[in-house]
Amino acid sequence: MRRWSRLYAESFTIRLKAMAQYRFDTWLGLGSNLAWRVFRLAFIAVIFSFVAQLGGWSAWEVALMWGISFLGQDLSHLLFAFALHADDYFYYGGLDYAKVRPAPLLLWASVELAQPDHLLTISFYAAVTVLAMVNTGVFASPLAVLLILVALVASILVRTGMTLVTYCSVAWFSRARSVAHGISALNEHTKYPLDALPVPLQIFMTALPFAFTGFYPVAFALRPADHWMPGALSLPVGVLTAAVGFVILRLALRKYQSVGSVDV
Amino acid sequence: MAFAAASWRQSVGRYSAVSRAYVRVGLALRFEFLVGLGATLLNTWILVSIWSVIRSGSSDVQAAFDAPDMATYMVVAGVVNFARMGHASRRVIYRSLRQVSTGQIAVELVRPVNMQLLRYAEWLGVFLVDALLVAVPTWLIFRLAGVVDDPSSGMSVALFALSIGLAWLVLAGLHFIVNAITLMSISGSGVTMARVAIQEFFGGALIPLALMPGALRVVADLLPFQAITSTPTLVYMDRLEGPELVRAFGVQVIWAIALFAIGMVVWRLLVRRVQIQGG
Amino acid sequence: MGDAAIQVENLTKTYRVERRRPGRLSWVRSLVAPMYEEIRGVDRLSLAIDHGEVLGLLGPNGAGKSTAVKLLTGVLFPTEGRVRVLGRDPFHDRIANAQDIGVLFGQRSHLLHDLPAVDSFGLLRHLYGTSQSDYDARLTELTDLPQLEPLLNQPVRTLSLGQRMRCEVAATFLHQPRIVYLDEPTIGLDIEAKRRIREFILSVSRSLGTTVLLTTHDLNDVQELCERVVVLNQGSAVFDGLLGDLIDLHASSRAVEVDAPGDVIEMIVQDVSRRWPEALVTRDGSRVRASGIGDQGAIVDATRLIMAHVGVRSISVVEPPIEDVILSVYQHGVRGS
Ligand SMILES: Nc1ncnc2c1ncn2[C@@H]1O[C@H](COP(=O)(O)OP(=O)(O)O)[C@@H](O)[C@H]1O
Ligand SMILES: [Mg+2]
Repeated sequence: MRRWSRLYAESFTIRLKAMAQYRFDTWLGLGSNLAWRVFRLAFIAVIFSFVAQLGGWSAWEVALMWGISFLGQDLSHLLFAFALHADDYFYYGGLDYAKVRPAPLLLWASVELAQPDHLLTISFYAAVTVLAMVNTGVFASPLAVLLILVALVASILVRTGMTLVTYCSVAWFSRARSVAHGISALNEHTKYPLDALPVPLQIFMTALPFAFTGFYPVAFALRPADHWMPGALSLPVGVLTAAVGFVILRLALRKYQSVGSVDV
Repeated sequence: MAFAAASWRQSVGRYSAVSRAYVRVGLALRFEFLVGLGATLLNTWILVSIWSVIRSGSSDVQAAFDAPDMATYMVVAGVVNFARMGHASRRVIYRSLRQVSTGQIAVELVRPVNMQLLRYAEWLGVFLVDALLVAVPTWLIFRLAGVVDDPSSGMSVALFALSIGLAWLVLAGLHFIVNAITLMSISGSGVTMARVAIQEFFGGALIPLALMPGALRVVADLLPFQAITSTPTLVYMDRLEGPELVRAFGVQVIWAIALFAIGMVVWRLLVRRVQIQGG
Repeated sequence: MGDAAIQVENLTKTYRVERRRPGRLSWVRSLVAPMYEEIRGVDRLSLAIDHGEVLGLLGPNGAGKSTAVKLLTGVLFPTEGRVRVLGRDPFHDRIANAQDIGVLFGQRSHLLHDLPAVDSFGLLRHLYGTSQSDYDARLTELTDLPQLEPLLNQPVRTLSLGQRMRCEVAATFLHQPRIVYLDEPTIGLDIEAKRRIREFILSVSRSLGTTVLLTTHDLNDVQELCERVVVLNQGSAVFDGLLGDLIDLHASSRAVEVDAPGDVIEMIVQDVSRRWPEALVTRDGSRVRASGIGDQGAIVDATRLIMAHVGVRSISVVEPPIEDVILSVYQHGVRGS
C-alpha cells in the first residue's frame, strides 16, 4: 500500500512536470475536459427548465445520480487507468514492457497512465455531488450519507469491471474495440432516471449494467422504501462485475499475442 | 489557360480518387459501422423517449411541437447528428489526429497535395459510407416503426439534400480547425470530446433550438453548429419557409466559406511551428 | 553445465492470425466464423544459457527472435514446452521473475518521451524498490561511460535514436538485474551509433557480471559481444555453438574490398586471381571486390598480399548478410555442440 502510494505520487509528479512543459496543451486539455462535462450537466439543467420532475425525480436528485455515476467513472479512470486503455495495449502490443515489471499489471500500468487532469474533473463531479447531497437533504440522515458512499463504491467497482470486460475482450476479437467504443457512447445516458425510459431501454441499461453506476444505488439511498430492490444489490453487482472484469483480464493476458512489429 | 484547366481537372481527379479510396476504407470498416448503427439507434431512441416525457410535462414544449413533430425532430436530428458520427468515420478522423501526435504527419506533409483539400476529400469518402450504412438505415428503421414522418414533398427532399451538403462543408471546416489546433498540442481526444459535447448542445441535436432558453439561444445562433444539425432537420420538417429558408441556407454558406478560410490561415500559421514528435 | 541461468526445452509458440476470406459477401461469414491460420513464431526451441554468459541470438527478420525473448520474459504464454529462468517459470511467476531481469525491446521505449531520462529512471527505481544509495552508485557507474551524463538531463524526444538507445540500455541495467534481454538494441542505427551501443553494452555487462541474451540480425553485433551464438531460422535453432565455428563456416562468403588507383588495381586483380583461382573477383572503377577466397587464414593472407601494394587507399573485409550465413549453415549441414 505504501509502495503504491509512493509510485502513484512519483508518477503524478512526473506527469505534472510533463504537463508544465506543454503549457498550451495542458490548458487546452484541462479546459476541454471540463467543458464537455459542463455541457452534459447543462443539458440536465435545460430539461428541468421545462419540467419539475423527470420520471418522478427532481433536478437535484437527478444531479446526484449523475454525479455519483461519473464520479465513480473518473475515480475508476484515475486509479485503474489501465482498464480504459487495455484495448490499445492488446491491440498495439504495449503490454510487452508492462509485463516485464515486477508488479501486478493492472496497478503498474495504471500508475504509468495516471493522469493528473482527472483531479480537476473529479473535483468537478465531487462538487456537483456534494451540492446535490445538500439540496436533496441527504446530510440530514447518516444512513443516507452512508448509502451514498456505498453507491460511490459500487459505481467505481461497476465502472472498473465494465471497462475491463469491454476493453480486454480485444484479446479475443480485435473488433471488440468498436463494440467497446459503441457501448461507451451510450454512457452519458446513464444520467436519466430509469423510470423515464421505456421498458426495453430500462432492461438494456440494467443488463449492461450502467444503471448500477448511478440510478439504482442513489435511488436506494434517497428513497430506500420504494427502491430497495435493485438498489440493495448495487454493491454485490459491483463486486461481481469487478471480479468478472479481473478474471477476463487474467484470461486475456494468457491470450496476449503482442505484435509482430510496432506501429508508429 | 488550357494548362490551368488541365491541371484543375487533374487535381479534381486526384482528390476524388482520395475520396473513392476512403469510401473503400469506410467499407472495409463495415463492422464498425454496424456497431455505429446500433449506438445511433439506441442514442436516438433514448432521446425520443426523454423528449416525449418532457413534452408531456410541459405546455411550452407542447406549444412548440405536437407529439409526432417532436419525435420526427429528435429522429432526424439524431440521424444528421454529425457530432456523433459512426465509429468508423470517427476512427478515420482520430487517425488524422493521431498522426500529429506520432509524427506520422511528417510523411503526409511531404506529399504534393494541399493538406486541407486532402482531409476534406478523405472525410467526404467516409462520410458517404456513414450516410449509407448508419444514417439511412437509422431513418428507415424509425420510419418502419412509425416514429418519424416522411418529408412532405420531393421539393423538401431536394432542399434537405442541399442543406446536408452544406452542413457537411461546415463540419469539415470545423474538423480541420480542430485538427490544426492539435498540431500545436500533443493530444486531441479531450478537444474532440469537447467539440462533440458543444456541437451537440448548441447544434440542436439534444435540444431543439426553438426550445433553447433565452441567452443560450442567442449564443447558439452565433455559433456554426446550428448550421450542421438544426438547419437540415428543420428543412426536412418544412419548418423553414421563404425568407427564413433563404437566410438559413445563406448562414450555412457563410459558415462553410468562413471556416474554410479560417482553416487555411490557421494551418499556414501552424505548419511553421509543427513540432514533429520523436525521431 | 549444471544449473543454467536460463533453460529452454522444446519451446513452441503458435500465433493465431485472422485471414480474410476471399469472395464478395465473405465478410458476413467472417463476422460469425472468422478464419484463422496458425503461424509458428518459435518452433521446438531448446537451449541453455549459463550464469554470466553473453549469448547472441542471431537470425533474419521474422526468424522468431522477438518471440523467443517474449517467451523467456513471461510476456507470452508458450503454446508448448518449458522455460526456466533462475529456476522459475517466467509466465506463472511473472512478478518474481521480473524483479531479477531487465528487458530492452529495441522497437519500443521505456522512457517517457517528454521528459529527461532521469525522470523515468526515478520512477523505475521506485518500481524495482532499488535503494537510493544503490541507485546513485549504479547511476555514477553508468554515467561514467562515455558521454551518457549530458543525455540524461535532456528531454528524451530531443535525443537522436542512438543517444536514446544508450539511455534505454542504461534503464535496463539500472536495478542491477541478474539477467538482461536485449532485443535488437542496434536496430535502425548507423554504423557509428551501433559501435557505441555495443561498447556500452559490453562495459556495463562486464562490470555488473550480468547474464545477457542479445538478439540481432547484424553479425557484427555478436562478433564484438558474444562468444557463443544461436542462429534462428523460421523459429528453430539451426546453429548453436561458438562464434568462431560459425565464422569459419561462412568465411568463404566474406569478401575483401579494396580501393586503389587503376594501375595498382590491375596488379591486385592479377595477384589475387593467381593465388586463389576459385575466388570471384569483380572490378568497378577504382574498387575491386574479391569473395570466395577461403577461410579466416586465407582472408588474412589476402589482406597481407593486397596491403603489400603501394598506393592502396582502403581495404575492408565485408561480412556477408545473415541470410548468406544461414544458407552456408544449411549447406555445410553443421550444427554446433
Ligand atoms: N503478434 C503476432 N501475431 C502474429 N504473428 C506474429 C506476431 N508476432 C510475430 N509474429 C510472426 O512470428 C514470426 C516471428 O516473428 P518475430 O519473433 O517478431 O521475429 P524476429 O524478431 O526474429 O524478427 C514471424 O513470422 C511473424 O510474422
Ligand atoms: Mg524482432
